Order: sequence, then C-alpha cells, then structure tokens
Amino acid sequence: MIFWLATSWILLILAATISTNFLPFIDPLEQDYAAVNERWGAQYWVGTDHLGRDMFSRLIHGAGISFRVAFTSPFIGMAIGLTLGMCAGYFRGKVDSGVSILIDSILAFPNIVLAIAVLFFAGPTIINLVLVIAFYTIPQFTRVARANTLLYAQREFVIAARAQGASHLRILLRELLPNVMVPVAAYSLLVMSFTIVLEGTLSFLGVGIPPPTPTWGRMISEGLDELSENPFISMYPSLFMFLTILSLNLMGDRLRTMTDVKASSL
Amino acid sequence: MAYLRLKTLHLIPVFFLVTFASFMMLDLLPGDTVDAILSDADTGEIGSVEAREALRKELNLDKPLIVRYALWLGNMVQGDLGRSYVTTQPVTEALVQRIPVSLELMIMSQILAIAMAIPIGIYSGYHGGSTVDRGISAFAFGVLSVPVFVAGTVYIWVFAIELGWLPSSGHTDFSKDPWGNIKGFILPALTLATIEFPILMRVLRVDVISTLQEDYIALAKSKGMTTWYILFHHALRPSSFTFVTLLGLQIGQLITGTVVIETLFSIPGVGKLLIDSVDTRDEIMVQGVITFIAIVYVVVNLLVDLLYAVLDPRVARRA
Repeated sequence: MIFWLATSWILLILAATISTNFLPFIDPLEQDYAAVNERWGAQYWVGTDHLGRDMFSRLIHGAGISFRVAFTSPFIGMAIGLTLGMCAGYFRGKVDSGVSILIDSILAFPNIVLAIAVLFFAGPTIINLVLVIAFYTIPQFTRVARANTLLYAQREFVIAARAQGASHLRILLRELLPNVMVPVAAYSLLVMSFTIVLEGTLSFLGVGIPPPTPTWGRMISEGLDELSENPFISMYPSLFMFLTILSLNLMGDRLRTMTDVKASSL
Repeated sequence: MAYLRLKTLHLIPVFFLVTFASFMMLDLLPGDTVDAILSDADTGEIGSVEAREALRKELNLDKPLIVRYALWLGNMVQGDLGRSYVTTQPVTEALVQRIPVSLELMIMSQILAIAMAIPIGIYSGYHGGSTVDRGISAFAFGVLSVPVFVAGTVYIWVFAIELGWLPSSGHTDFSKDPWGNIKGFILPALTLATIEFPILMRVLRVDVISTLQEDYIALAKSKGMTTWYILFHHALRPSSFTFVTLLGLQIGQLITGTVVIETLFSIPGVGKLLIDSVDTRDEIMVQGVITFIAIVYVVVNLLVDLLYAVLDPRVARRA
C-alpha cells in the first residue's frame, strides 16, 4: 500500500515535470507585482512567492533539475561501478586490491566539498553537476556488484561455461552480468534519493545550478528571509523534497530486501 | 603494531592524491589563472601589471607543474596555504579563527545525538516488536529522508519564528556572553542531532535485542537485578563499540551537515568561510579551506581506524 503510494508520487512528479515541455504552465520566472505573497487561489493554485512568481509552476519546474540529475548520475555511476565491481569480484587478487584503492580514494574527499570545488573551479554547469554526483555513486554500485559477482562466480553455470572454454569476457557478459545486474539495479532507487539530496544541498548553498533556473534547494534558501511573512515559499519545496526522497527510499528499501544476497540466503 | 603500520602507510598515497587534487583545482579555472584570480566580477578589471607579476611569482606559474606542486606542498606542511586576494588575510589565520566555532557545533550536536539515541534505542530494543517499537522505527525511517537543510528550515520556522524561543542566527563569543553563545548553538546543534540520531538509535536497538538474549542477562535477571540496571550496565556496554565505529563512519556526513548548518544559521565556522569565499570568488581561500577539510577528513578516518583496533584487538589481528 505505502509502496504504491510512493510509486504514484514519483510517477506523478515525473509526469508533471515532463509535461512542462508542452502544457501551458505559468512562466516560473514571471513576476506579478500585483499578486505578491498571495495564498492559494484560482489563478495561482498554491500561491505566489515574495516576488509574485507562481509557486506551483516553480515547484514543478524545480523538480526538473532534481530529476535530471537523479535519472542520469546514478546510471553513469552504475556503468562504471558494474565494470569495476565485476572485474574485482571475478579476477580478484591484484585487480581487487586496485579497485579497492580506487574506491578508497573516491571516498577520501567528503562529497559536498569535492562537489563545491568542481562546480566553483570548473563552472556550475549541469554537466559538471551530473558528473561530480555520478562520481560519488560509483563506490556503492561497485560494492554491490563485487559482492554479487563473488557469489555467482562460484556457481555451477559459471564453472560449466569455463569448462566449455568460454573466454573471460563472455563469462562476464553472458553469464554473470544478467545475474549481477538485478541487485545492482535494485540499488539505483536508493542512489537516486542520495543524488537528489546532494543536488538539493548544493542548490541550497548557492553553489549549484545558478539562477534563474528554479531548483527546490534554492527555493528553500530564497524563502528563508520571508519565513515570518510567507513560510510557504520554503515549506512547499521542503515538503516536495521530503516526499520525493521518502518515496524513493521506501521503494528502494523494498527492492533491495527483495534482491539482497544476504537477506535471501539466510 | 603491524596493523598500525599498514594503516599509516596506506595514508601516504591517499595524502598525496588528496593534496595533488586540491593543488590542481586552480588549474581548472577557465582561461589564465592570474586573470581569473585578479579579475573583478563587477567591473571586469584584471589588475595592474605589477599585481599580475607578483601573483604569477607567488603561485610559481613560471615553473613546471611538478616543481610548483612540491613548492606548494612544502609551504602547506609549514602551515602556509597562501593569502586571500579578496580580504588579504592569510588562509591559515582565517582557519585558526574559525576552527573552534565549528568544533563546538560538532561536539554539541554529537552529544545531543547520543543523548537522544541511547534512551530511545534502549526502549525500542527492550520492547522489540511492540507497536511503540514499530512506530519509532517508522519515525526513524522518515527522519532519514529529511535533508539537513530542510530540517533546519523547519526548525527555524517553528522554534525561532512562530514560537520565538531561540535565535535563528547570530553568534556571540563564548568569553563575552557564555549563555548567549550556547543559546545560539542549541537550534543548529539540535538540527544536526535530529538528522544523525536515527542511525545511532537503530544500531543500538538491534544490539540491545541481541544482547538481551545472552545467557548472562538471564543470570542477572534471576539474581533479581532491576531491569534498569540490566539495561544500562549489561546491555549498553557491548554496544559502545559499534557506537565508536558509527561515529567514525558519520564524520563525512557531519562535515557536510556542518557546512550546511553554518551557512543556514550564519555561524562563522569553517563551512561558512568556504561558502562565503565561493560567493566572493576568493579562489585561494576556497582552495585552502578545501585542502584543510580534506586533510582533516583523511587523518580523522585514520584515527578512527586505529581507535577501532585499540578497542577490539581482533581487528588488528585479522589484518
């Protein structure tokens, strides 16, 4: 029940975000000085902010950056993590220790600090944002891929394939990948929620995608000075972020327990 | 001892990697580094010929990369991270002023987090499976989905603006006004603690549940000891080890949280320094603060590993 509620919320926000491309939403940047800090009504459904901008439109457009990051970074990280983790789990020995040093090095910088550094020195573009967040999704995927590869590499069908003279590449791609893929993919929802938090934090700190593009994180920080006048400027995006992250965590948790090696083998 | 040596040796490549990455950041700047640092964002001026020459010399831009890195590293080890081109303050001096503020925030938040986690975790574990326990677990799951800046914003709205109990920003020196100083830290520390305590609580809950099944707990019970005594003296002790590990694992999250909370509550700590320097495009200061945080992070992680080995000798033997 809760799982389906969570899924519906994510699909709803996703559909609304995509629909901004062809539905006539009010321009999220248009400032209507005749209707500043307005509460809900017929024209502005959930009201306007301190500059008279339509908050409903800003909330939907603000989801755009979050979802663009959530639907790209984890998959870049997954592709790299799968490659590293499967090689580490399959070849073991030197490859394994090499991969583990690489993962340790990624984790040697606190993520927010490296992200601030990259966006500051190389420029706050969406590509830099996606890449630096993707970088921090690599360790998680690598660990899951490695653990599952270790497990499946001992199974009969892999030994049979090797006995038939299959190459390493063929075993990795044809025998192991389809099995390792499932638990790794199940992890992606939890990683998506992590990327939304990270993007939101960067936007909130004012180091993410620069204005005027609306993002949830910056909407919250813009509303801070108006908290006594109009708390909704900060509270609506806060609520949207919380529901989105909670939904992804609920869905991700369910998927992970369904596919977890440890949980299912116990 | 072999474990300690191995762990410390492992630090060397990571140290060079982290410092090299920090050093290379200036080279990521688009165009000429000197132009990027000296140019004024508002007027577009790029500084006098003398100033440009002086900076070029200071950054050793006329020398090969590896020599520049070696010189920079040499200065850094001696505590010289350069000088801001916006405020003309040396980076190290700015850091020294702000470290105590960040430390106070971190320590207060950790104490609060532990103070919240221990009673709730023990209660939840003792009544494992009950309605209250399931309610607490669901609540913890919900809290883990709240980003730290959302929690802080809601707290400011509720406690500072609607109720008016605590200030939402402003920092006073402890030496001038001790109570004002602590009052200013309550809301920020509480925000950080709220975000961190569910992780500690969950682990403690699982620990209590498994400890309560041990034979020595049954013995203690049969000797007629009170529930309260058993829980605190017998059940809590084995969990302290997991606590240390967790606190270590959470340092990364704590650093992130501190940067966010200092910015949100205008607390003049290291995190606020970083974000302010980004705002004023103070390249040398940003590089210096990032280098500092990265080195502290690596060293603290090493110390946690070592503490881990001291607390549980099996860790050292296994490696």
